[in-house]
This record gives sequence, C-alpha cells and structure tokens, in this order.
Amino acid sequence: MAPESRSRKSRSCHQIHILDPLPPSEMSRDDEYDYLFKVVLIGDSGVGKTNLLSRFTRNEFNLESKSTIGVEFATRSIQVDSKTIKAQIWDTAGQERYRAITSAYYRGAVGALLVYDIAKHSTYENVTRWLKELRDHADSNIVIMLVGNKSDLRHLRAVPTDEAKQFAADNGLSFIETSALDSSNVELSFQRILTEIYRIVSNKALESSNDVIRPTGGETIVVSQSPDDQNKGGKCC
Amino acid sequence: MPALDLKGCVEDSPVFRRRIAAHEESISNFDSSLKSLAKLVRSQVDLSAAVEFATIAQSQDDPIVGHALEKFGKSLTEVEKCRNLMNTHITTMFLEPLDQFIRNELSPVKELKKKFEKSSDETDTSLAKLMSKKPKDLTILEAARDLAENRRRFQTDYMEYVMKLNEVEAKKKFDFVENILGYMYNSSVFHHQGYEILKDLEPYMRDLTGLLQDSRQRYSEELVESQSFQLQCVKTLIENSHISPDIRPASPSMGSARSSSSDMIPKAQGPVSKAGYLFERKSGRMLQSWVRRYFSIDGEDLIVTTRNAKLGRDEDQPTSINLRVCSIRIADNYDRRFTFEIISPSRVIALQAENEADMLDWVNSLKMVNQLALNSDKVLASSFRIFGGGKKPHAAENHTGKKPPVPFTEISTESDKELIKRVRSLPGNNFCADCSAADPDWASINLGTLLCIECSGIHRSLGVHVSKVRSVTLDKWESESIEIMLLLGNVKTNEIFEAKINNEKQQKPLQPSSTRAEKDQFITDKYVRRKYVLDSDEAERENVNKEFWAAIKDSNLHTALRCLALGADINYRNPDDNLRTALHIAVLQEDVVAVEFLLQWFCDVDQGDADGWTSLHHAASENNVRFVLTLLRRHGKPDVQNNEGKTPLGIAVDKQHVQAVTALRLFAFDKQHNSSPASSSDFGFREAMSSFKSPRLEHRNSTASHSAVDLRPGAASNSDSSAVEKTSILNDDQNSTLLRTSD
Repeated sequence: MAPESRSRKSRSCHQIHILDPLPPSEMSRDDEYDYLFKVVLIGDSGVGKTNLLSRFTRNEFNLESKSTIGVEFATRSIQVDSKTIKAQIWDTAGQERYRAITSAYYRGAVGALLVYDIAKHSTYENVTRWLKELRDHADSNIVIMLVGNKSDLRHLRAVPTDEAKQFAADNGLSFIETSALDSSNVELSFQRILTEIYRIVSNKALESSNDVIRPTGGETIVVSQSPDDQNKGGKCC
Repeated sequence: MPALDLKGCVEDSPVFRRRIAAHEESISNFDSSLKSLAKLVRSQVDLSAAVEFATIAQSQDDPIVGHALEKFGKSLTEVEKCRNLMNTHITTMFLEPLDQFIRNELSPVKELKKKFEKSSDETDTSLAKLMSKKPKDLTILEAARDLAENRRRFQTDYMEYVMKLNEVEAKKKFDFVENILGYMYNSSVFHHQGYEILKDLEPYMRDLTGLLQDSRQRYSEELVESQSFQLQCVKTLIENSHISPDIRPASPSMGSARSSSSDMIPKAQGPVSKAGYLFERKSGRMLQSWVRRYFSIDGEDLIVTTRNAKLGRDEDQPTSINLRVCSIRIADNYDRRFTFEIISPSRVIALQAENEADMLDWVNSLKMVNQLALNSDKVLASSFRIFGGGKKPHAAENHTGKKPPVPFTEISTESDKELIKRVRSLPGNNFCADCSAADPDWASINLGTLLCIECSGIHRSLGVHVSKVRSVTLDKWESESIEIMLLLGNVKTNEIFEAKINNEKQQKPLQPSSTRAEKDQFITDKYVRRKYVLDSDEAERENVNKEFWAAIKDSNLHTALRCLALGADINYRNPDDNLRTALHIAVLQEDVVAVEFLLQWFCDVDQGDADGWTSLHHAASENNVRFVLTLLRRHGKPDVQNNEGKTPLGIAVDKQHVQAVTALRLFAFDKQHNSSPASSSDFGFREAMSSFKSPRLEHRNSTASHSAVDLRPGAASNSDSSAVEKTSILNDDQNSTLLRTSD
C-alpha cells in the first residue's frame, strides 16, 4: 500500500475525491493504489462508449470517432474513503464483427457500464441482449449500471427516463443518464459504480478475513485446554 | 380377396351370397384385429430404466460407477425421448387414421348390412305374398307394385352394400397398408436414432468393461490376501493368548486384531509405519476417561482418528501431531498398565496399548520417527504440509490424499507425448549425440539433438546462443519445438557438425566413459569452434547467406542449420526480395516451425525490410495472431514504425484486423500495467491471449485461479478468499507462459 494513501485515513468516511485526470503517459506510472477494479463498457455500436471513456479518463471528446476495433483500454484512479481505487476500463467494440475474444472481455470484470443511446430506441431495446451476454460470460456478482448516453440530445429523445429507470430497477441495475459531449454525469457514473464495487468488495474482504482468523482461534482453545488437562492429571494422581 | 361384381346383385344367387358372407367375415376379423392392434400400440410402456439409472447414479459414491450410470442414464433418457417422439408420431400418424378407418369404413358396413338384410327380407316377403295370391285376387296388382317397389329398394341397398364391401376391401389395401408403412418408418427411425445414441457409448462401454475386469481381478486378489491375513490374525491371537497372560480380553473386531498383531506385519525398511488402536486419556472436569482411538504414523506425523466419528464433534475429527516436536516416554504415573506419553509443545497425550509388547513397539516406532524427523534436513514441512506450532486446524484435509502440486513443467497432452516419443525414435536419437550414451533424456532444441545428462550440462555451459538445453521428460514443450526436433535429429545434425569425422571414417573421439574434460573439449570443438564442420570453399561462403535464406523459404531446416554452421548470417536481408530476412519470409509463409527455429537462433526480431516493415508488421497485416503473440513475447517491438510511419497496430487497425488489433492492444496494456511484480492480478489478459491460440497449443490444464479484485498488500493475505467470486480458468498458466516465458 502506498504510504501516501495511508496518510489520507483522516478523511471522513464516504467522501469521494476524484483525482484529476492524468495525461495518459503518467497514468501508467500511478501504480499506487489500494484496489484495482476491472470495468467493462458494453452496449450497441455508436452509443458513445469510447467517448464516455475518453471523457472520463482524458477529458476528451471526439465527434468523429470511428468504430472501436477489438478492444481499447484506459485507466483512472479515484479516491473513495481515503482509498485509491484504480479503474481499469475495457472499452469493447459494439459491433459484432469487431469483437474477437468476447468471454475474455468479461473475465475478472467486477463492473459493467451498459450504455445505450437515449435518442435511438433500438439501442435501448438491445439492452436485454447485452444483459444476457453478461449473464453468460461475466461473474454473477458483477455490478451493472445502465447508462443512457447522449442526454444532450433532448429534442431527439426516444427513450423516456422513467421507463429506463423502471427497467433498471426491475433488473437490479443502477441507472444514470449521461452526456459525454457536455460531460454531464460522466464522472458521477464512474464514481458511483466504482464506489458500489468498493463497498461490496471491502465488506466481503472483511468477511473473508474473519474466516481466516476463526480457525486460528480454534487452535488456541486446544492449547489452553492442555495445560489445564495436565494440571487435572497431576492433582488426581 | 376378389372384388364383388355388382352384376351379382341382380342375379342374387346363393353363390354370390356366400361370397358376400365371406367378405363380411374377413372384414369383421380385420376390424377386431385392428382394434387389438391399436390397443397394443397404445399400451407400449416406457422403460423406466433410464430414470432408475439416474437415481442409482446419485447414490453411488464410486466416481467411476456413478459416472457410468449417469452416462448410461443420460443416453437411455435420450433414447426414451426418441421413443416418446415415436409414440406421438404413431398416435398422430397411425392410431388416429386407424381409428378413423374403423369409424368411417368398417362401422358403416354393419349398418348397410342391416339395411340390406331388411330390404332383402321385405322383398322376399312381398314376393311370397304376391305368389300366394289367388289368380282372381284383386290385390294382385297392388302386391305386384309392392314387390316391384321392394325389389327396387332391395336392388339399391344390395348394390350399395356390395360397393361398400368392395371399397373396404380396396382401402384395406392402400389406406391401411399406407398407415402400416408409416408405422414401420416411424419405428425404423426410432431404432436408428436409438442405435446412433447408444453407438456413441460403445467406446466408453468398452473402456468400462476393461475397468470392471481390472477391479474384479483386484478384488479377487485382495480377497485372497485378506483371507490369509484373517487366518493369520486368528492364529496369532490364539498364540498370543497362550503366551502372554498379560493380554487384555481383546475385542473380536478386526481393528484390535491388527493392533495386537502388529509384530507380525513385516517391518518396512526406511520410513516407519505403525498403526493401530490405543486408548487415549481424556480428562473431564470430574473424572478422566480413556477413549479408544486409531493412531497411525504417516511420515513424521501421528494421525489420530476416531472410529464411528460423530459428525460435528470436534474431538472426533482426525487430527495430526507432528512427531518431530514431540518427545515420547513410557509413563507409570497412571493407574493403568502399558501407558506411555507423547509430549508435544502444546499438550501431553497419554496413551495406553493393549499389551506390553505393543506398547514397546509403539514407543520404539514413535521414537524412531522422532529421530528420523529430527535428523532430516527438511524444513518443518513434510510433503508439502505446513504445521504451525502443533497442528493445523483442518489437519484432516492434509492427509486425504491430496497430491502435491504437479510441477509446472510437465508435458500434459497425449499428442505431444506421442510426438516426443517420435522424436526419441528418430534414427540416432537413442544415443547421446555427442558421447553416444544410451537413452538420452535431454535435448538441445535449437540443434535438434538428444543428449545425455552430462553432455547437456556442457551444452548449457556453452550458452544459449550455441545450444538451448531442455529436458525431454521434465520440461514443457511447445509443439513447434518438437517439430524442429523431428526435422533435425542426432543423425542429421551430426552430419553437419561431425561431417569430417564421418567422411574420414574416423572413430568418434568421445565415448560414454570419456572424462568430463574430454567431453568438454570435444563439445566445445564441435559446436563453438565447429572444427568438424566441412570446410567450405570461397564461392560457397559467398552464397551461404542466400542458401540459408532459400532453405528457410523451403522450410528445409537441415540445410538451414548447415548454413548456420558454415557461418551464414541469420539476419541476412535478401536484396532479391525487398531486403526481407528469413524471418520475414517464414512469417509471410506462415511457417510456424521455421519462425520458431529462427527465433531460437536469436534472429533479429525487429529487422525491417526495404519498406521498413518488421516481421511484426507483416504478422499484423496478415492478421496472424499467433505470430503477433510469438513475436511480441520474443520482445518484438510493437512500436516500430515503417517507412510510412505506421506501427503494426496502425496497420492492423487500418485493415480492420480485429484479432491482431486486440492482441496488440492487450499485450501493450498488459505490459504497461502488469509490469510491477506486485500486481498479480489478471483481468482476462491471459484468457484473451489463449483464446487466440490454435487448439494444438493449448495443452496446459491448470486450476490456477485469480482474483478479480486486486487487494493490495494490505489485504493481500486475504486475496485467496477474496470478495468477488473467483473463477478458475483453464489454460491460465499456459497463457502466463505465453506472455512471460521470455522474461
């Protein structure tokens, strides 16, 4: 653990501090983190996954971005509860023909941002298909957030917020609407999903650490019993 | 049966009537047989054996038997499914038409018959009536009209009836037989399907038969053994009771017999083994009790198990005591005979044997184990077990036959083993390539030779640029390396490196019995100084580079190796072919073996051609993921730009080669982020890498798991049982080799 992050322990709980996006070259060097989470971006082609990622990790937006081929990666660290959480984000190709290694995309992923385009209803309809893919390939405990992107296109809206919100609630997903173009909610969406994952992981880590301790405790009983044992024997005879 | 002629109706002769009767009988017989047939078909019962098998399978604890039953059950269920399908088919395609046939064709016959008989009677009556009239009777006319009327009706009914009979007879031929045909097809399909399903089982069944034969034999052997053992035990018990008045009344159970007769079990040399029942002192708050438990020495541990262990009771769980840290002494401070103590750092275990001899034997055995353990230089861990301060919480797990982890380097696929066998059977490969010692177990993978262990050591000392040594039995082999071994071999390689010796029919200077110094000298001469390689003339030396290049192009490794021995430049850029190197050519020709050979001889991975394309550029451009990964892990630089300023990734992106793009990006990202040794996490990189590879290469099954969440050092100890569920990935380890072998 980085000594630096230890010193932040004084911060109040639940406080989230997003580090400023680092230029990519420096990003590879920030190896000091407490948790490393793999998050995948999935959803139909053209819903804006790559731009969400570039907005979040580099604060960049490209109106003329091309289809993602294969997979792209980026990382960024945020602070949650004085812990540094590094997100390793896999931006996958939405188009079937640009996907190479589907099951490996999901391997080890603890979070998924399932993105659709609020101005294109078919991308919302395909959400169920993507959920099925997650069920088929990802860990069953994966945290999923439904993201309605392009919220800036108000006049073209094809998917009502309430409907999507209800759908998310019915399927146990978190929900948020974002715009990579005007940056609204982009930070928040990643923050939320990473925080949620962190909560789950830190709780489970606690549980499992208890598990490890318990058997050792069991042994102590045996040890403490035996001197007693011997004393008894000595008195008797 | 011939059809009835309608003309007969007009004649209405008794012969014709008889024929009708015959027809009627045939139809009614047919009717009843149809009905019984339908009944029979309906009552076909499903075999419940399939279900039965499945239930039995669940209650089986023997994995082989359970597996077999499950498998058979599954297949039978499959067959039953087909049968059900057939039954539905038969119902819709056979039974229903049959019913219909009976209803529509056969039933009306009866009605028509009644009608016919009625009108026949009526006609007869009216005829009789008419005939009986007196000549002058006025009603004659009326009766005649009546008769004519009846006759006409009779004729109609008659014809109708006969036509119906004919129809039935005819339809019997086509309608009914058609149905039958359908039925036959159905059952043929079913039996065919059933056969197909069960045919798949056949190899398995054959295997199983073998297994059963084996276990039957084993059982009979064991039976004989245990019977003789039983006899011996009984005999010893009787003898013992005569000799030793000391003995306590032994319970007739097998266990006690074994424990008291331990002296007749032949003592194993080396590791001490002793097992049997002893009484262990338990002290409660008020009074102490002696509990009979089973003790056995396993390595340097004493394993304690309780007979009829009750579930959930901690004290009944098997425990183990490390004897290295214990001392053993005969005790006399208990109010019982034959007692001794094992004093471990945490507690004193008081034990009682059943007689003096047994007690002494136990004490001696335990002391011996203790001595052996103390004298062994092993760390406090015997056979992969770690004991902290006495006993482990779940010691039981440690001796339930868990095998020590299989060493990472093991050939695991049959096919590769098969290939290696072929390598061994190549001419000359039964002897060491250098000193001719028999059955060499080591290999030089770049020279393609098999070596004895001593010569392999010398080869190692020459450096990997001369010879890359690998164990045939212990190391992991990529199939490409095996291919190289198959293309070369001791004879072919020695043709090059011992050419002079061979040509001059000289005695090979090295024998298996030669001294280390002699071997050292010869091997250095042979491979470093290349003293025995045939001299080449000036002209040949000029051409050797071109010849080498051409040999690689022809996948002729033998010639290529000869050229290398003659001093060919492995990185020769052929001016006749766009300044491409041999590696370029091998990559472009997708020659896996040649690529591997060149890489083993340390060709320059990053050498560009006239257009500045490296081999990696070409591999990416061809979307050849296998080469992309091979070149990357041999430190091929992914960021070299060609003359147009394109990197391999750029080319792959331009060409929309999804796989190559993914591989290049994955590799770059993995290298960037997993470079620190602290990060042990894997996020699907390895799996991603492996999913590209050809199935031929995937030969390591590992259950290594990785955590989805990287808990940094602070929480690292927990990472094994960490949060998000872990998934074990097959081939995981291999992928890591793929990624990291070059390190």
